[in-house]
Amino acid sequence: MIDDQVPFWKVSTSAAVSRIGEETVLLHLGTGTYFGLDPVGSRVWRGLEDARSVAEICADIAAEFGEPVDRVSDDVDVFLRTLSEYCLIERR
Amino acid sequence: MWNRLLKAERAASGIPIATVAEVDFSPGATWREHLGTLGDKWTVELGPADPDAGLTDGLPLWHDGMGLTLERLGPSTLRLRFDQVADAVVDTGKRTLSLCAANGALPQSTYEHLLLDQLLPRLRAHGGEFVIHAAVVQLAGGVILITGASGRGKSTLAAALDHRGSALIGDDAAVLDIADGELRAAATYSSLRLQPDSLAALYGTDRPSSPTAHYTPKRRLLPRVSARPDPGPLSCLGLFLLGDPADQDDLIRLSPVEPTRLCMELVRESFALDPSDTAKAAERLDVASRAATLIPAYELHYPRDYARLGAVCDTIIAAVAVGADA
Repeated sequence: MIDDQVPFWKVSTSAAVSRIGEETVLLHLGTGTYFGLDPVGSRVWRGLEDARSVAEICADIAAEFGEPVDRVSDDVDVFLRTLSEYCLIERR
Repeated sequence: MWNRLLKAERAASGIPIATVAEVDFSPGATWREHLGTLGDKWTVELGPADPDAGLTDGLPLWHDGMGLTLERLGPSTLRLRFDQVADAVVDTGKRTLSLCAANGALPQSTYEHLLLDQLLPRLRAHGGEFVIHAAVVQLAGGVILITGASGRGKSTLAAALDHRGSALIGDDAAVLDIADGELRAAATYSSLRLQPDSLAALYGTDRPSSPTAHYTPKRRLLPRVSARPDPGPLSCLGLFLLGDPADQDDLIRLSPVEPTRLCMELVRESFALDPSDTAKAAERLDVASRAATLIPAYELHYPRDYARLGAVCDTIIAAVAVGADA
């Protein structure tokens, strides 16, 4: 069972990152596919870059936006699975 | 500075390679001059099909899904294969380019098209410049860029703007650079190529033109579009991304494009000699992201109706004026 207090994901070395204001553009160097992240997605990405746990990332976002942590966690979980499917993040 | 042309004999096959001097290019062709914009001396060979070409295995690196494949032949040697048309072998160390037909020989127009529209932008990108597939039109003291998938009407719209008093600089590729916090743009070379119906609608039936290449009905206008002096890089006032005509209704619609999307658009439209080179891909992303914060961008939808082009041009000109006032 995954302990979401422990950093589980890391950003892929194949991901080139560029920040534009509060948003982020990711380019997977292997596939040439690129992605745009909105400010919230960018927050999650930066948290992964800083090797923070998913729980910490979700807690911060929930606090900032006044949303229930459970709801944020569900959304972030979907987001992370998408990033993983595109090989932008990897398991530690 | 100027590319040097070699005359060479293929001793193994006995097939002589024609020099450009022996090939009668269309009047006004200045592809030698345009290749000189590469900045370094390149040696260019043009010739008919090389029967030995198929015997050299290359390491597949990339393909665009539309007939262009890239192979590595050596540490500094790449081969671009234009499916069923030609092979271009580029040695970036020796700065040599060999362009041979895939079968038989090619018309002069096709050699010129491949050199100017396919290879020149890629070689300039390899030299460190940021080059995108875009039309460049001068107006209001600067230039605008028009991008969009092939067939969406970049050239036709750029020509229409030229008719309205703006100056078409080129309809194929733009070199972007950032200096002192400003994005500047210039065309790789002056060009205008139109489908026959657009040519007739905008210029009538008497405007001299020549074939662009044997595999496309597009015509290259003669004399060269810009008889004006090349203005060089000018301040970029905005980018207009042409929407999909399939999504079009009868309205002319302009909607702002956010910097993130603009960045991705610039990356998508950027040229690269070797798209599999990850270091250069990361560099292009960096330039695109910085450029995306420096200019306004819009998505433009309009009915593909020649009678409406004037109104479309007015929309663009008004948007540029608003941007200038902002």
